Amino acid sequence: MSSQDEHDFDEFLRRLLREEANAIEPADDGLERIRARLTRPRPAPAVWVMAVFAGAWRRAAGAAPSASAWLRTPRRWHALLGARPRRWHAWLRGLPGSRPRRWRSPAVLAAAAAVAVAAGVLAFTPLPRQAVSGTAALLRSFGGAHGNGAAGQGGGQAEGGSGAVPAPTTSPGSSGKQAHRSPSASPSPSAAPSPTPRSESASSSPAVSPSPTPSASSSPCPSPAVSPSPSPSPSLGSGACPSPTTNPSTGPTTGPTVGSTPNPAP
Amino acid sequence: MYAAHYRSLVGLAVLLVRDGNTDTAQQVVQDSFVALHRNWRGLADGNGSGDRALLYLWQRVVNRSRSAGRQSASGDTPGSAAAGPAPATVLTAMRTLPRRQREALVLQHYAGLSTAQTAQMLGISADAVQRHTARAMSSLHGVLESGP
Repeated sequence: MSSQDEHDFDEFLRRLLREEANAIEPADDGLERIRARLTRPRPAPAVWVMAVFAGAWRRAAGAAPSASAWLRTPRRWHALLGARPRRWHAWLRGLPGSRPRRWRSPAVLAAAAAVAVAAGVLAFTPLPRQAVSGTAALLRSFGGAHGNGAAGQGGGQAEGGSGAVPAPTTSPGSSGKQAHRSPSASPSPSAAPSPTPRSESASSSPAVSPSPTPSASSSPCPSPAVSPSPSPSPSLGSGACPSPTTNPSTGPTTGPTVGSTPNPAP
Repeated sequence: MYAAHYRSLVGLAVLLVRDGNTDTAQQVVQDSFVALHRNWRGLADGNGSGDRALLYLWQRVVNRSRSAGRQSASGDTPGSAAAGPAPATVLTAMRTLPRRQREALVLQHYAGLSTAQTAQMLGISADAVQRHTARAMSSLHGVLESGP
């Protein structure tokens, strides 16, 4: 299979999946069902299990002071750990300025070192946060681009980032919904015009790649990561991101005020 | 969040659920929203962006689609908007792909996630994602070449 064939098949598959998904018309009562399930009491076993855990937690919390007081006695530690504390004790006594009662220091030092290492790792590796925010920005853009025709507007607290993404017009249905959405959107000051990031083919229209999309980073609720996904693997990652395809004519991005449209849900 | 993402999530679930049943997909997405609501306190971002919540929602849909596909072995397959026998054949073949291959394919080709993001979403390595995607593409291409 040549690379051209692969590319064509990629495009074919993308189009196919989008058409398949866009053909789905979710029921209008989705939000009502969710609300109904949230108000419905949980089944009895779940309540029972939660009650048991809550009781166990309360008991543990109540027993914690007495347990810590019990453990504070060195003799108990000796009983628990055998002769090892005595060795630590002797070793610590040999240290300059150490007091005899500092038999706990190795454990404390080890715990402190572990905490410090964990904190350092978390502080100096922003990757997880970046990855989370980057992926979420992409997903938001994707959802916002696709989900405008969904039933209901969900109380108007839709994610603001959805507006910073080009409008999708892959299928006729979605294009119509987008046309409905655009006027209702108030362009937020920080929402940049959609840059129409990539046009891979004439049929699939410009695509929003998750990584370099400037609109995602300039969204009203920006994710801290400018380039969320470094896309270390260049094969499929960065190049094959069709996500929300857009019609260049609908260029200006829509703001986060998607909720201004009426809620069709009863 | 519901307004912005419900429809796209249902589309994702339809592609991920093995039987392709729309009702099952909606059930999956509704379950995910319920779970999101119940875990909202731990998922809310300080800056109010909802990044973590959205990621949780997507991961929940992917995970729930697996069990939903297992529970309902059969169901009505939604009609494809794409005309012609080949797309239907490819879609049918896609539903018979192994779960990981199907997930990697859908997340990359439908959701537009990168390899790294797909790996994060599925909890596997990027190499594994590439491997699954390549195998899935090969299988589907073979189906297309062999004809309906």
